[in-house]
Amino acid sequence: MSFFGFDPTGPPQSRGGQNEEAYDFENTYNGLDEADDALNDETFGGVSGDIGKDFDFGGVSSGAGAGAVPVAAPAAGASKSGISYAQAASSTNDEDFMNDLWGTSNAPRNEEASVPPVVSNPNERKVLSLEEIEAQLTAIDPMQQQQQQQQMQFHPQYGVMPPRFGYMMPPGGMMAPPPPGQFQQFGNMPMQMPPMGLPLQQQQLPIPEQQQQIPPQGQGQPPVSIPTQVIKEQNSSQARMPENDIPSQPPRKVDLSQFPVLGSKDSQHQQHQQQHQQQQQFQEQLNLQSQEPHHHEIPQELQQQQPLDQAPSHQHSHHHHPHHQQQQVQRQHQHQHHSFHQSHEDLTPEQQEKMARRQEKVQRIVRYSGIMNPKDKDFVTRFQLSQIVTEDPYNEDFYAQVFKVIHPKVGNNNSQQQSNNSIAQAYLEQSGHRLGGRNKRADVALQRMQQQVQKAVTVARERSKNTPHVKEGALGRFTSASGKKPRQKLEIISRAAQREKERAEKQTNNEEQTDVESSRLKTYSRKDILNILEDIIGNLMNVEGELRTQSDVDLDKLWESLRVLEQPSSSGDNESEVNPFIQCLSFNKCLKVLPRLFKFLNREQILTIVTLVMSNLENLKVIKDGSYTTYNDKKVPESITKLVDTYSLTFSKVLMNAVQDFRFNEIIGLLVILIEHNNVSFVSTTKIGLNILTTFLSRAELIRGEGGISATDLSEWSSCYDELFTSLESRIAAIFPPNSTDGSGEDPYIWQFLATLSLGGKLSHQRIIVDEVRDEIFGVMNKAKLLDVYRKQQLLANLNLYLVVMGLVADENEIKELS
Amino acid sequence: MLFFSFFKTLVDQEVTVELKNDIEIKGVLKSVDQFLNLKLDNISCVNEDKYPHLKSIKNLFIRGSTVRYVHMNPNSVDCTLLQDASRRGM
Repeated sequence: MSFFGFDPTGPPQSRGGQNEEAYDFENTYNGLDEADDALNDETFGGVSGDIGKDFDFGGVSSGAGAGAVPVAAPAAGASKSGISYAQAASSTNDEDFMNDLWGTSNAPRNEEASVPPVVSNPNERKVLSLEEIEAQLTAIDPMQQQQQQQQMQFHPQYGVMPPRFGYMMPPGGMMAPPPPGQFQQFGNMPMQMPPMGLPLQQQQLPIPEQQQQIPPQGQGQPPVSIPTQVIKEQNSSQARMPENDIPSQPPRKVDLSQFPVLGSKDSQHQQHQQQHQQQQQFQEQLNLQSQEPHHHEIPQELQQQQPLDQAPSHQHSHHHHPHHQQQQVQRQHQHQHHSFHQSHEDLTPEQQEKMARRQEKVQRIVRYSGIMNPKDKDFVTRFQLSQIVTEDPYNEDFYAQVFKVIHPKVGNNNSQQQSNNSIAQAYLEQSGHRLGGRNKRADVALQRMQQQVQKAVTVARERSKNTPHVKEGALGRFTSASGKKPRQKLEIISRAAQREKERAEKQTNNEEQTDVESSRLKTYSRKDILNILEDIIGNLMNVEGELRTQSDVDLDKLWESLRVLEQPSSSGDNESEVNPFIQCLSFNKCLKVLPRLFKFLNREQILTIVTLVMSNLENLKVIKDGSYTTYNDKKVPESITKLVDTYSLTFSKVLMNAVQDFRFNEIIGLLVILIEHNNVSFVSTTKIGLNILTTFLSRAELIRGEGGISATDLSEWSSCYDELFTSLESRIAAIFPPNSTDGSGEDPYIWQFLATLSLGGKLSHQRIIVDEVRDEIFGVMNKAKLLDVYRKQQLLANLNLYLVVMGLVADENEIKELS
Repeated sequence: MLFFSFFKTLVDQEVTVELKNDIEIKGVLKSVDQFLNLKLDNISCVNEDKYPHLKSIKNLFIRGSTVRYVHMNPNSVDCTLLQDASRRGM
């Protein structure tokens, strides 16, 4: 190809290296007159300098239509210069080039190469509304037969495609039959509904000039309809010969050789003459078929299009057509304009403006809609699906699947049909494929998608079994990472492997000590605890997952994974030897699953756990580190207070629920265990400790209030209470953390505890408590005086929680008897 | 697939996408694919005075690799479920 003005057909010796003398740049350059660069337009597609970022791939909107020029230009170029480069190129390289490119035999090319680029009927290019398309679709079937007959006659025309689309499409894809349902959306095919009386009318149609039927390209209609027409024809032709499925069929490839760019003006003209008879017949028919119904059914459409598109359409025709067609095009325009002029004038300016706007909108929408043909779309969809579809969609898509169940969208009422096509549905939903918003259309798309999904699923299954790294789905360069399995930055050995490794290490390290170790208690590292915790959560998730599918689930494994009974321990034991479950309770994530976990435990198991916790209270981080007394500045650090907050949201609630089920003697037993194994006065200086005590005491009081408790239980209770009180006595004031002076929303938990403690005690107990906390009571009252109304109320309300138990009530000034 | 799965649940919700070139775009998430490419509708640029060329754009497609952050409404995330889902991935 001679892009830069070298004449490839020139005498060979000029290029043959016989002249070895040095070239002067200026000399050589002089030969390449810049004036000849005018042809660059043809080579590179028009105003090359203007191609900016807003390059119009559709080639429709701008008059420059850069993308379309190269195809149409040769004829014009040929008329200017003696030898058109395009001509030269076509005579030398292009045939081979096309051969190489498409691997076709170009044998029939000589006859067909110069088929005029425009064959489709002008009226085909009309943009129809959805309603019209549907109406036509319904009319297809009866007309199909007739259509086929026509096609038979004009077989050579099948392959003829408009230039601008011809070069965008692969030969196979072009002719491949679109899957049913897809071409529907292009279904502007007025030719499918010919009035029966056609042949008669045909003769009466005024034909001002021989070639008038050659449609004015770009009649203002976007080019989309051109491929539709072709597709349409293909489709009907396919109906005739179903074996045409194979895209690489020879006759189809021939079509590509009909690129108009290859044809010179002369040959095109010749071709026109040759084909004229056929075309005339064919297109007249089409003309009539399409025009007639338009007039009757949808005159509005035509009216609005015709006048509006006049101007741009001339520009388009410029670029898309060889020069000699232009006049005819214009003439036809005028002709058509006249015929529609009348109706156009009937409209009010507003209507016209409205139509103009609508028309513009339609154009914008349809502008690119022909760029990918159905086959292309299917191809891309299949790739996308094959990337998404996996063997186990539930697992891979766990979050979205469960999320949908947990948070069902309101108004999602068509869920009954979702079971079998959920993937397709989901794909359509989430990939933004909303086809017109019409259920009918969506269903068609859905069905097609469903088929594709099924195919893709089978392919995905096979592939994953065979080779893990098949790259035939990769568009472009591939990496070892994929969207499905991103490359892992961290290499995490599985837990089993980890454990195995550690065990092996231990054995080698401690072989001499093993006899001692085995008799002693097991120690747990932080890592061990985390592993155990993960194990618990994993089991919990398994149980929950199984519960979704079946009602009967084996819970033993979950219980075992808790390791509650694995190792006895009590407060004050070496930290690493404490029961693993207790150690787990120091981790946020364990606390968060507690409510879910306790759902699957029976009463005995819960009681066991609570007992274990009571005997290990001081091993809990919130207790051990949760007391202000252990800190020099008498302040609990923030990390601990956060954990404490989590505790009161999770553990305390779970405990409170659990305690509801406990019997009176069990509560007594738990309290006794708590007192025996822990330093109660220390526990009471922590928020969680106080909470636990409050929970037990108030539950015990409730049961006592209900009555029906045996005398032995009651005496046990009073001795238990005495014991508890003794361990608290003289240290009750210490439960007030000293730094709560900031007064900001002081927690009522302390007063709650004092209230329940007083409630359970006799008068002597109450007196002792009042004595001990008297300073705090007055402290609160003094503080309340200084505060604004709201916080004062809050503070006093907290205080009164306690005072009310003793029949008193306080305001900021004094304590009165409850009236 | 976890994030793909996650973002699928955000479809039709408003998100703010912060790109690696500091452009922040707020819009309704229309679709997402396995590369976390995003399609946004009804967009508006958060720092619009800095990037006025986005003023006239209504919807766009964002290549996933150019995204730095996606800000979303915390109410649209089920943290517990997300934790479970991430455990499954292990």
